[in-house]
Amino acid sequence: MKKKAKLKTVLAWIFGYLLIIDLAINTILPYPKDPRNVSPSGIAQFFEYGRSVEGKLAWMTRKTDEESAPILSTGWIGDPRVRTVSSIPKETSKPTITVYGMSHSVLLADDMAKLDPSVAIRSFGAPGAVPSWSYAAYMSDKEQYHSDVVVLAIMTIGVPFICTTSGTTNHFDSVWPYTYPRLVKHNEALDSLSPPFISLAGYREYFYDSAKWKTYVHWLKENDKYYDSVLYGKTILDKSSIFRMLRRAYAYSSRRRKQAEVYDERHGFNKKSEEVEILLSIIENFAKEARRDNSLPIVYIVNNLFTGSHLFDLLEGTLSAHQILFLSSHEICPPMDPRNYLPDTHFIPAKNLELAKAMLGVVRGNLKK
Amino acid sequence: MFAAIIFLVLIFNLLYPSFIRLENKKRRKLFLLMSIIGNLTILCLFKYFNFFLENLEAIIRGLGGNPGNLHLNIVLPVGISFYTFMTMSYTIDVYKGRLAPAKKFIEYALFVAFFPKLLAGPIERATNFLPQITTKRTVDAEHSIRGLQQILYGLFKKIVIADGVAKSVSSVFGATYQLSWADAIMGTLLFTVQIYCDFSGYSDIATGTANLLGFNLMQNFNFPYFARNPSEFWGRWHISLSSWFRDYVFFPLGGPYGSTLRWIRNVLITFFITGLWHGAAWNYVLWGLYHGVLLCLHRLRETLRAGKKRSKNPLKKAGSIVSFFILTSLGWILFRSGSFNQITDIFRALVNDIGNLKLNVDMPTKAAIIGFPLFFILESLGNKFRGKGLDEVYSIPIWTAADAAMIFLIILGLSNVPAGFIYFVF
Repeated sequence: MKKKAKLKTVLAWIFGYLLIIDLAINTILPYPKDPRNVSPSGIAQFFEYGRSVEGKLAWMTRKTDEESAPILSTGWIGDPRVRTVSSIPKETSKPTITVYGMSHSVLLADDMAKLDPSVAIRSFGAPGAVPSWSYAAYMSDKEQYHSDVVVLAIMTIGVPFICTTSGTTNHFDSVWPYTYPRLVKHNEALDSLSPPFISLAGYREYFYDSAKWKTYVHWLKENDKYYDSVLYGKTILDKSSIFRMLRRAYAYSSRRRKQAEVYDERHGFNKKSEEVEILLSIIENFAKEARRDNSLPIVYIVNNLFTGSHLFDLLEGTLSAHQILFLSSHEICPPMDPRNYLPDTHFIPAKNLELAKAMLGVVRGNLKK
Repeated sequence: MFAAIIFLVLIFNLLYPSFIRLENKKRRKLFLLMSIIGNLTILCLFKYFNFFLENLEAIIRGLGGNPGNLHLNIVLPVGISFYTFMTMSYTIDVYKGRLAPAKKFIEYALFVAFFPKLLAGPIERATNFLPQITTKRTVDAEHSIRGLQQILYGLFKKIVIADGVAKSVSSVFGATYQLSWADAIMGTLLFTVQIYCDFSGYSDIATGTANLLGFNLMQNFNFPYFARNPSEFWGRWHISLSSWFRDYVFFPLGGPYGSTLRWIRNVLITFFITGLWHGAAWNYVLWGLYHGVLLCLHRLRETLRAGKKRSKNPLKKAGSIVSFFILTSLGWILFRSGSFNQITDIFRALVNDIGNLKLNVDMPTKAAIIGFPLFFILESLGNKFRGKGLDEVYSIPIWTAADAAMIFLIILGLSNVPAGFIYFVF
């Protein structure tokens, strides 16, 4: 009897300590309540990563843009805020280059603008944008604006997320509510399914109406490969830092498993995966559409750290078969050399500048104007 | 394979008449030899055959020949080095009369295949394990708590520390660029921590699991990085392997007796084989010989200092621990490197690039960084109390606080990229 009691005592003490740790983290490292606070401490942020997607959305979403987190308005295709104009040509006759992609491509566009003020550089970017977002951004923009050169940026680690439809499923630690169509290959053609809302206003309408939100979550469940109810749904456990970390561990493990079905650093891409098939179709369609609009299509291949030239190797055949111009970062920034990269996965500024120079070189060498 | 089996059966039948005519002692010796040769053949075939072929290939090429590709596609069975050594120790101990043979096949099978230790040890001795199978085992709360605590500490070392630094280590030992001095130092130190936490973490989990089932496995690690010299180190690191080599290789070769040269020879042979046991590659052999040389130098130094009392000054003691820790860490460069070029690159960075503090290494995970101080405290206390559990030294509120901290850090570390146990490939 005495020994049994000892086991209970031990468990009670451990449980008590865990409770104290949990409370201490929430008290000592509180996450700012104001969504406009864009710089919470790194460690407070670390303990927030595991909050459910709906919990994170609830933190960042308010009735007006002024009260909401600034990140809420990023990535909405069609919203003017998605576009950054890196430079405006002094003479309107100068050529226009538009870049579509993630933060890497926005940085590239910024450096291109610095290097060559004689061209107009426009860039469309979303945090962590995956190729399906970039393609959708291009398809939407080309209806409104004619660019002489269009650059589609694709990043190795973004490819496994091609079958997602939102910034709430293509990432977990940080989420963004923006949406984009689900691409599917149907009889060799690339079809797209539009999500229930495609604008910030639409998002707010759904978010603040529980019935509508339920239909959206159901749509995600049906169409988004990375939707996971354990990660998505807001629960009372969001209040516990320990459960948040457990959820984060689950997120990493389950998402890693899914990613590995498409890509792993050792073996490269699974060419039979749906994601790879869609990626190759995106590139073909992008080039076809651009040429039809009399634009010069270029693909910017961003090879992430320790991914070798896997993405370039995957795309090389399609690019040469369709005579599509490209710039692959691995030639300038060898991906196995961490000195070329910043801790946040971006290229170091010197290398980014070199890449911008190389991209301008590709443009100049091929632009007819 | 089928032809080889038929060949073996034919040979055995051919020899059988002469075999039964042998006197008992010779027959026992023959059985022992057959068992050792059988075990070593299995080990060599799976683990060293390709190594032998690759070296043969290199020699033939060096002589101007073209041997073609001699490599065989053999899959190394997991844990082969561990269970072949366990079975060999059983046979030798029975032959030497140190142990009565197992009465039932199932007892012997359990000794060899007991799941917690099957894949990466400890290389248990039948003298310790077999009696536990036949006697009544008790599983009570106290045993279970001890077992669970060991498992917890093992998981903490593996998930939080070893996996938390794995990416940083790979970024140094897999680097395709010129390493800075800081990179080389960081990579070496982190691997020193990683290999210990990975392997001793597994041993703790195995021992703790065995405890839950009422078995006591032999201690495999005894805070080796607090060793002050190579002799102490090998009494604390992978004890089940080092004691195996001591008992079945070093002593049969003559041990520490005889002339100094003979003793040195015995040490170097033992450590050559120890290195080779870890893997079929020359870097492991180099690592083994490095430790052999350290041990010989230590012994020579001790001989010269014979009669002098060892200093009890804590500062000197700490100095010896730090100095030997540095030597151990340098040895791990040989162990971890994938090629001779890499070994020279890292040593070049350490020697020629002194003071270059530019770090290109991936930083350890947050869980590992937060976990380091706790790891250091627990190791220091473990060493201070000579391996006694914290529950034997402190009151419940104190040691359960350590347990809770470990559980919390394990939860944090679960987001680390999981890596396989390093010793599974041996």
